Amino acid sequence: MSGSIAWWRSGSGVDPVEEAYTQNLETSRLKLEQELTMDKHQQEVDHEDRLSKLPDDALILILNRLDMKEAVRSSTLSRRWRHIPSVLPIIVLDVESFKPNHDDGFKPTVSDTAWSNMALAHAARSVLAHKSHRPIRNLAVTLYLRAESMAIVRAVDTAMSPGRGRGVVAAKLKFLGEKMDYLCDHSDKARNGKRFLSCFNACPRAFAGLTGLHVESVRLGESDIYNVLRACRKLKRLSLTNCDCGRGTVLAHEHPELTKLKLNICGPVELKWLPKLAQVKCWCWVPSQSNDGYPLLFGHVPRLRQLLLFNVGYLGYPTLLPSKLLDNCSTLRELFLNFGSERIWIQPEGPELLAPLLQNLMILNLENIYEECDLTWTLFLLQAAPRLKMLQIKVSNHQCVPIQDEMVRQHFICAKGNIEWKVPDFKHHNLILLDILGFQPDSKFMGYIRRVMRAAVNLEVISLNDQLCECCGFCPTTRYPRTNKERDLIRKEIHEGITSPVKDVQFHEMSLEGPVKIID
Amino acid sequence: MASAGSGDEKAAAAAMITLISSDNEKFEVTEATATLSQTIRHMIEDGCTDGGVPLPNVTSKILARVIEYCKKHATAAAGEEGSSSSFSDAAFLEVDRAFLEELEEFDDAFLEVDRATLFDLILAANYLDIKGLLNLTCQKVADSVKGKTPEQIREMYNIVNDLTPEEEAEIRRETQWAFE
Repeated sequence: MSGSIAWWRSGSGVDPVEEAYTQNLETSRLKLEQELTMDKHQQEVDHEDRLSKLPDDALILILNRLDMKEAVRSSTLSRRWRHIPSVLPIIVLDVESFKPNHDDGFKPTVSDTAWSNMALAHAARSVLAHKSHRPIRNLAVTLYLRAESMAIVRAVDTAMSPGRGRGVVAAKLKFLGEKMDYLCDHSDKARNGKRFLSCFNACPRAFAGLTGLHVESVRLGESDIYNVLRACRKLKRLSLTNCDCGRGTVLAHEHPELTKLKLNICGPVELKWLPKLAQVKCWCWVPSQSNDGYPLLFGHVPRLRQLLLFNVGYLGYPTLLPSKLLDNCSTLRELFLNFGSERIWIQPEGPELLAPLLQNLMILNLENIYEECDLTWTLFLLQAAPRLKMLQIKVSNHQCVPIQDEMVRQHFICAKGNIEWKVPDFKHHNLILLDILGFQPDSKFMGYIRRVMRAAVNLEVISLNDQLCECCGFCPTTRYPRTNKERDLIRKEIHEGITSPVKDVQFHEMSLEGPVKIID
Repeated sequence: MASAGSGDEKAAAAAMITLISSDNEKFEVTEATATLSQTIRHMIEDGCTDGGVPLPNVTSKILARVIEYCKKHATAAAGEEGSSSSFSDAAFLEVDRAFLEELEEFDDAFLEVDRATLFDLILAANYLDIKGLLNLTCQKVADSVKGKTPEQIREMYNIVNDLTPEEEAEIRRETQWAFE
């Protein structure tokens, strides 16, 4: 463009006025021209297919953020896209997304679960059959444990066979029970057990490569469990729901790699030899006489750091002694006990037997203590855990799905007697945070807080929070302090007559996105 | 991604790196900021950053935005490291929460750009190997196509369908399950 100006300028013998005029004219013309080309350029930019021009890696990243079906559908966009979905490093196939669509009047002749499983089998074969030099980094398949499971697990087996599939770095199989766990009777569990074992026996490579396994409502022989665990040699996470080896037997676990174990509605389990186990979650265990009602037996678990126990103290469930509950387990850093807003199922005890077991504990979480229950008894745990840094207590009567039926209540739920336990005066030097959820400005809470302060000489923060159920969003009307004035009053009351005040008494606005500190 | 990693944070903060955009503009940044890019991290490790790092694929306009992102996330990473290691600091929960919220807000505001800039940012993040930025920008594109039919996506991004009807039918057959 500057060249054209030079050309106009070079015209000799031109009147300067005229020259100025033409120059002006030229500048405006140029400007217009520029604007036009810019517009045109902009239009081109607007109509350019920048998305398809992105490198494969970026397109793969984009598609791996969509669900599998959407990602695969993109192969019909154009030639550029045709093969991108077949090299995705993360493959997630969940039977839930293959449910038949009843809205359009479609009625399959088979059951919904069978239909979903068959559709999933079809998808798994199609997705996992691709060849590519890019391995599958993460494969997760969730399926119903049914006859059709075999086809799905076979597809996984092929993908994991050297030389045949893409190669799989980490794989997770989640076998869902076709019926809800509490609807399964013994024969259902036995049948599921057979189905599971036939998959296991037919597809050794799939199981040998698994890093995660979840199984529901299955009854296996003791030697089967042993064989499965031995064959799944890469297994890092194991989750069992409603699984057993027949009534009254203790399931023994031995595995060199397992780091996380989740047990849900299972009988007692012996953690016999699990050198890398770091976390155990044990939900709603079924008490068995063979282990005096205790859910776990700790063998060789030198790296166990986190233990989460949740149960509802139904009628007939024994009250457990913590020193027996944690017998032979002294490496814990974090302990979570959830009482489900029913009877407290542990029995306070002195520190003699318990202290050696809690010597490394840093975080203690006592959840869903029913509202009428006194709290002072919890101090026996603080007393026995000298290194504890954080004590969290959640007080609540809320149950997301309450037992409505009075007959059922009478048969299962027992009276919640108060727990009275006198803890002698003691000093605790490491506790820095006391966090209370479901706080109410009454004498029970105030007395408890002041009692903890008296013991915990280095306490820095007391955090007081309202009630909120993270699962269903339930938040009851409470007397939680809402105004600046009320909060100041509580701060004052907490510190009354105490010479060394804690640094910070905090209040939080509760919401499902997490608590937000109220700044006064 | 950690900023200064295990290295001496103070030394890393003091060291400055010059980045040179495709249109020859120079940007001075701390090493902690620059090493959010794996590409630059490797260059520093290999000792080839003297005299500046030329980035012939990134314009000054985009580089300025990328640096803005890296600066923010480098401080956040440093803060996170600091807070998680000092468990004795009772305010650790607050610090983490505040950091994350602030970062999220920053990311949201950062993504308020036109489509051309978004694609430029993806290319730059890919070239410079900045995982966080690449994930963030790709997520934005993914969100924009979520729930759309292939035809809608084509229209939205001006994708020309160059498949023959036969090819398209074949792909549809292979991927029928994904359309059900």
